[in-house]
Amino acid sequence: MSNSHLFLKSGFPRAPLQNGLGRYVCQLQRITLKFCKNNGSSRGMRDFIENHLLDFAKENPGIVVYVKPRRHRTPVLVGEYLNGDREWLSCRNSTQEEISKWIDLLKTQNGSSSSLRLRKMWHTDVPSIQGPWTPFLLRSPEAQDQKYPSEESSKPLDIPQTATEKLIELFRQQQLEAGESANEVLSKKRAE
Amino acid sequence: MSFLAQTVRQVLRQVPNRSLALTSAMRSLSISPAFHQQNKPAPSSVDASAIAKDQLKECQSICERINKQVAKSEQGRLFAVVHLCGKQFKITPGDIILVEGYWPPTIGDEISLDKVLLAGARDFTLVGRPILEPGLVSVKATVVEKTLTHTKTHFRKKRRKQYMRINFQRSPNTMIRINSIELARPVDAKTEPESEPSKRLF
Amino acid sequence: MSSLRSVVGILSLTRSLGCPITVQTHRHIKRWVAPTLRELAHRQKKLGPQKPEPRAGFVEWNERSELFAFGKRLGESFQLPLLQRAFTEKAFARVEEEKRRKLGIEENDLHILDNEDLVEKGRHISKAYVEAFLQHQMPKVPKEGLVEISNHLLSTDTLAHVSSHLGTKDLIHSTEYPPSKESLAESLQAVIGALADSSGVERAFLFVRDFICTQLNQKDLLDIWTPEEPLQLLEKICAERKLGDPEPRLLGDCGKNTVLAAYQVGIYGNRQLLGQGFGEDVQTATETAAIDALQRIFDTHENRRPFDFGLQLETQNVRLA
Repeated sequence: MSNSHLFLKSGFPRAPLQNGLGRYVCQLQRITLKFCKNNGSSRGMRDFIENHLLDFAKENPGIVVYVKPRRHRTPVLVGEYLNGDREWLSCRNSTQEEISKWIDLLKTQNGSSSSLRLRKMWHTDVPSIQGPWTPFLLRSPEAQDQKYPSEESSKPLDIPQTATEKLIELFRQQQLEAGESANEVLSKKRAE
Repeated sequence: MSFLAQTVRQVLRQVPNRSLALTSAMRSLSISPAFHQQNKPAPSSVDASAIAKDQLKECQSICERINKQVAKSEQGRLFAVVHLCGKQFKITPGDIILVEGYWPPTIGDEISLDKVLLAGARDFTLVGRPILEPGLVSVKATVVEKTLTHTKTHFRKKRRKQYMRINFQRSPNTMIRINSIELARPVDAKTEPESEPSKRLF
Repeated sequence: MSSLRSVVGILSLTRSLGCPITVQTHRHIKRWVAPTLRELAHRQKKLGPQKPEPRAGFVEWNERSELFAFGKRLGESFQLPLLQRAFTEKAFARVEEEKRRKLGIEENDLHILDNEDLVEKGRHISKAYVEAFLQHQMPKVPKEGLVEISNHLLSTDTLAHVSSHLGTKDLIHSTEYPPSKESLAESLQAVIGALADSSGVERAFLFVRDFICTQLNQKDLLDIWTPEEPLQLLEKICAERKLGDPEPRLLGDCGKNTVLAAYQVGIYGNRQLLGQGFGEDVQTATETAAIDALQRIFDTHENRRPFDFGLQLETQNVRLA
């Protein structure tokens, strides 16, 4: 079980040097292909160098390609980026198709990506164009000359009817239905 | 503005003989092909048409003010909500957004994002239903980076069953830089929408 | 090593043939490996942190192709000798000449061209273009603000940042490695000068726009230039632009006489709202409101029109004084 991601650095998407504004600059500056001339594990790398490397170099004049043969060692791809990053890839026993895919990945990256967990898929320095909300926004004009403390606004917005009030209301309704003036009866009751 | 559009639309449904100017004004605000299908014949009344006229006038004056501001290029920074690869992003020029998963465009490609759900500036907002008319807002972007995510571990285990699997995976990510968001033409333009919508990749 | 191992193998074979004692199996890692590595690590630790090796000293390094790729990467065509000269610092050239003199090379082969004149030329071009760009994009900002912003763009820090992200770090011929900020900035200016010499001033202008002006993208201009005493400046500007006398008014307050007091102040001129701001007391609220009003008048607010980096300034508008 791998726990390595627990200690993985996390970050936010950034592009180096405001890349993409103005003009686009490929961030891979040089790539080194290390291989062995007669070991079997380098076979794919040798095939790639024979068949595709010249085309790659012609298509990407901005990338310096170095080829470094060395005896009895694993084939390796090393990409160096404009931001100073260096990405090392072992290509042991891989075919030329795999190698050209990995090289394509190195070419399209901005730096070594494997070491960063992204927390957001979006980056901006101007989060709000119409302005953030504040409690002072779009207040009613009456709130302007309200004097505090005020009796009116200290009350809760809805006071539930108490039982006494409900009783009084019921009683009034009864009286109205009976045709008697409610006030009279009320005052009579209070006198009692 | 969106609220206004909504009310105008509601009134409009009750008016059987819509004027050409009214429809064009409506299209600029927000238009969807479903609009004509949804339009149910309603009993006409003098009252409704009067209200509609008032609303139309107000709507046109708002459009005019927007156009005037845009013509003098005083609208400031624009923002937009775009739909891209199944996700919605709120973007403004200079932003970076990331598309997850396989996506064909490669680095250095300049693309335009056509599915604009909403566009706005300091003083106005254009709300689409569900998207703004194609060609009204042009959003230009550049693909900056195509890379793989960090290695994600997929570990599963069943207790007491001698079953344990571990897989590692990295999925492709594409980073896009937004270059510009612009109102391509006046808001209540009377031109017909493009008969052939531009080809979309997403 | 392997031959030694085979000898040991043969010896053990012969021994097993000779007598029936069980032989010890072959050890793959020798007993001396671990202590040696430990000793090496110990010595390295004792030496302390090492300076980074210059990339140019590696086996896989080809100066010519690096220079060629540098131009191609940025989409420019340089004359390689000029570019080579742009990366040669004056101090380095003098040191190198001294070395050659000691070796006894003839006096007329001795001279190495350095980038002094290219730096001067590049500085001139970048300053002219940045000023013209700012003037075009922010017509309402007064002179001191523009000067402040262009100083920020052309400061050593910004230029060094740009330069290091263009990959000049490995190409510079400097007396020290990694090169200092000053030499990074100077080399960038020299590159601009070399570009103007090799493919014309227009390309150099576009280079400045694409790599130096883009540093302003989404930047809060208030960080770069905050007017000191904003109220006085506002009064001056209002008098100049005939916006009436600025007059602060309390728009709202909340939590007076508490720790969390908030005041909102608006500044009016000719009965028009110029700007508004918040603060924990009326004084700071007035100041923030004045700054806000200035931002609105100068059109440097966050929601201002974004800088247009695809802009092509006409060459006659850039004053190369």
